[in-house]
Amino acid sequence: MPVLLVTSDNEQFRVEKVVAQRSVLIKNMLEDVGESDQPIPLPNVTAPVLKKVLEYCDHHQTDPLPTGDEPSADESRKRTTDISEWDQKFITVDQEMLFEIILAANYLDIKPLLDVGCKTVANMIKGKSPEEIRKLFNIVNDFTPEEEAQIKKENEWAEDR
Amino acid sequence: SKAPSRERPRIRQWLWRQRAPWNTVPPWPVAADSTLLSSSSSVGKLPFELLLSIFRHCDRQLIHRIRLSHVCRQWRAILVSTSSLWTKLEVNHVYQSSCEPKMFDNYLSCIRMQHDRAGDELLDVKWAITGYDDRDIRMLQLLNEKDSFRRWRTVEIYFDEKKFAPWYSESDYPNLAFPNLESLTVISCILHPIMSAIDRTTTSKLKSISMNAKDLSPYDVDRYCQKMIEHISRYSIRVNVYKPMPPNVTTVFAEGALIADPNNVEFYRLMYCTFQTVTLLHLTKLTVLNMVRVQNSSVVSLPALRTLDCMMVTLRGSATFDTPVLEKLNLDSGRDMAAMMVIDSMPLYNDAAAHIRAEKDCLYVPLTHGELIIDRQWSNAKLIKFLEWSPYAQRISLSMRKESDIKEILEYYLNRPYPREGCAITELKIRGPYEPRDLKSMSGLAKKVAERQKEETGVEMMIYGYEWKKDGGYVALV
Repeated sequence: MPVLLVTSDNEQFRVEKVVAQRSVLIKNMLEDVGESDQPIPLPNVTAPVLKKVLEYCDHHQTDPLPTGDEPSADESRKRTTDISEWDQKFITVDQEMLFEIILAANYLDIKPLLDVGCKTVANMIKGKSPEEIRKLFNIVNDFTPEEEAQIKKENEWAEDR
Repeated sequence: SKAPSRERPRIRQWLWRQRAPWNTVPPWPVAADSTLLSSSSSVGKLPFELLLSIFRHCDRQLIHRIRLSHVCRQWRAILVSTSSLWTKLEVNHVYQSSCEPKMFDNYLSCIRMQHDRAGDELLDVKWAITGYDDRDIRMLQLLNEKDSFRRWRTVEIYFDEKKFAPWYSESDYPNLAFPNLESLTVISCILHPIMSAIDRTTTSKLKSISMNAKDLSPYDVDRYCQKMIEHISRYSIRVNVYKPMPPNVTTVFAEGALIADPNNVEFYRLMYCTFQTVTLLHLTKLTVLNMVRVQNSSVVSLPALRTLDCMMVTLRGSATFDTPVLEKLNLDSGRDMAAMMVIDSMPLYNDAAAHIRAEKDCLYVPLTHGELIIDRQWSNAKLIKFLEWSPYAQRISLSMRKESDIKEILEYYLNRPYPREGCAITELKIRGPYEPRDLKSMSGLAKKVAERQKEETGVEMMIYGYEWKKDGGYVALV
């Protein structure tokens, strides 16, 4: 049975239940409501972002669902920044969209998509100096003079390398 | 009153614009595209916990963590207040021995700062002992002062010194202890006295030891690792393992092992190993690389062995390997070296040197059921000999050189004797250098093979060819 999703900008998406249920949020909602053709409102997601997220869910609809357990200390230590080829292509979007996808994956509770988003940002940061990171993300250097002095001290070792 | 922090840089810019000459370099960082004024950064929309997830995916090295903490106040606050982001401790020996004295002082300050930020978290450590100047001593003093060793969870130690430098002695540090150690890796040409402190103070948390120590003598290992080895289940070592394995060890990677005693090992991965007459009741997987020596006429009983992987194996000596439940025999090799495996005096490699052939080496690995993978292109005579010798394999996967070889193999299966029940093949996969149109021409013969087996044994046989294209794969011929 298809599920009807409504975005914050009032666009409707009709998707297969198995695809929509990649989102733990939607899965739980469906379980709570039971069989119903009521549309599910997603007030935190816009249509272009949901379209992208559903593309991901559709491609990964047969993947095993994450168990929901927190990764053990062991796993989190081994965590890498490897992303599969399809996911890499999928996530090649502009920065604005990338962060929107991360926010949506977090809100909709789609852990594997959230991981892909976070890994992508981590890869963008890789090997860059603080100044390069600020330029990349358009972040303002807002340290106070006292903090700048402390940072300069830390830099004496870190930036010599 | 103070402007909100986000506004302040804009105000500073505006003020500067009012009075600076046009070509002056601005006193603050400017974004590449000069969009600083419209500075609603996308990354700034992310809440605290999402930024933290991103940081967890970033490089764990200290220097990268420090750089992230220098980007802006928000990032710094997250990094400094999250102790689990500071748990990878690397005492870098190249840097330690090559930098200026002043820089080494700064380095020590950073290591100190890292310990403060890591709080009570357990640490994953790479520790390099250089033997350079007094730097090891100063590092050791700092680590001891910060009560670092108690928090070490995984450790890789590099000993770069050729002789024992006097930077550590038991009497100076009587309380040095490693009670949280779970995994220990030693890369060294010697073992250092500090190993006895590790050995004395590890607990049953220690699960794994790996020693990549080429010139290490078995004597050294015994001297320093006695208590450690009692705890572990995984043992990886590049020295001769000449003594029985303790009962807790279930995984062994070894170079130069002598397998002469019964033990609880479930998985061996061995290079240059020697077998004597022995029964290994618990061994389920054996991987052998390079040479295996067997003492003449010995009998190796492997009653639980299900998987045997052989990579570039050369055998010396003759023995019987008794493997009643073997399910998977994988004969694989990247290159067809002068390796050879001899079955019943018939060398399977023509290119093995004559003098090796003359030794009449022989190995029996009867494959009674399960899967046989021969991922190399043998001549058909060798291959058929091998197939005859493993009549009970149920799933067989072969690689062929020529189209005519494939026909020959199928003809062998069409005409072979069916001596006993249980000789049925359920799946036969043949890879070869053929075109899709050749598959069609083969399917007639394949059909006959399957029909004959059905008649003789009542068992269906699936036969697959292989299509060479981008998303190629096995294609059913029957």
